[in-house]
Amino acid sequence: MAAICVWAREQLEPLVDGDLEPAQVEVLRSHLSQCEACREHHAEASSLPTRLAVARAPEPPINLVRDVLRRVRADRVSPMHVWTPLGAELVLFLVALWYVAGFGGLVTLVQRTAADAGAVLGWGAGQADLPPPAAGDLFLLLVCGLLVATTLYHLTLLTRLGLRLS
Amino acid sequence: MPAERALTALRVQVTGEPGADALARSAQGGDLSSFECLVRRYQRRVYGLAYRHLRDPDEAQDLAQEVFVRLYRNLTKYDPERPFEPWFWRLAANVAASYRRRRPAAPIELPATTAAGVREDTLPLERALADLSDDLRLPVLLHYYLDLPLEGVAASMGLSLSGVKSRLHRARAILRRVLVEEGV
Repeated sequence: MAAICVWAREQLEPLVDGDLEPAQVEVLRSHLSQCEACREHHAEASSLPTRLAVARAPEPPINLVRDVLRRVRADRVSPMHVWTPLGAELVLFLVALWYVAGFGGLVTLVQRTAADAGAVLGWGAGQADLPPPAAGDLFLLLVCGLLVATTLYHLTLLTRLGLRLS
Repeated sequence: MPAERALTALRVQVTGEPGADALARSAQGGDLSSFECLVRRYQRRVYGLAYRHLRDPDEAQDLAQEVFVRLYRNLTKYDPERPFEPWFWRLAANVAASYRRRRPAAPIELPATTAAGVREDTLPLERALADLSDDLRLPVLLHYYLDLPLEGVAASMGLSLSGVKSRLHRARAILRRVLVEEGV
């Protein structure tokens, strides 16, 4: 094949898309007017975009929508599924408190927490000293910490699954 | 495809059906019926893309399902302030590319009999298209089959505009040579 034909055929797609400089177009048109083989390539290059656009694919299978929805429904998580562990955590939390401190301990804990919160607020406002750490039950503190961490994890889960809740 | 798009726009105007952007926003809020509308609206084009990409009806169905399931799972990432289609086709192109990468390397031949609905005279072109490498075939499918503008193809494939043009030129040159040699 002549070098001009090699060059011309490399330029056919840019020519069809209007991406060539006018001078290049002129040289190419001149060659095409003299070369039948390159004209055949040019005709094919010109019709190809339309042929690609009109080529059809088979119809989608009739069960495509049904199958997609089935997979998506299986993907969804029911609110009950997400909230049940949180309920269990709450129950466990109360049981742990009751086990460690009894009902009186629960009441004491609430009162002490309220008093500590008040003292911290007073310290923040410059009206009192920072309260000393409570003579604490480290085990209780650990259990509470773990439960808070678990609850935060659940909240993250809820956020992540937000859309997929049915 | 432009005709199909125009018909869709006309249907939206005449029947008051919500557009794709509105459906996507609604589906994003968890409305499954809006998601179903999206699937029905795009199933033909998604399956067509999958079929042309994989050349196998069963695998095309699997890929089309995968595209829609991934759409559902990723709806939270869709920015409702932006048009839905470019985002969706980008996702579809990514799923299609990664699906084909996961397939066994052995080439799958076109079925001996044509699948229902495929015109006989498109077969030589279809075969030539099937023989293109993935990085050349996907831009062709996105631009000519799905009618995405060059900018949309570039965004979908993470390429520059000139990169897309270059791939389209190379792909069409290969197709043209094959078709001339076959005398089609």
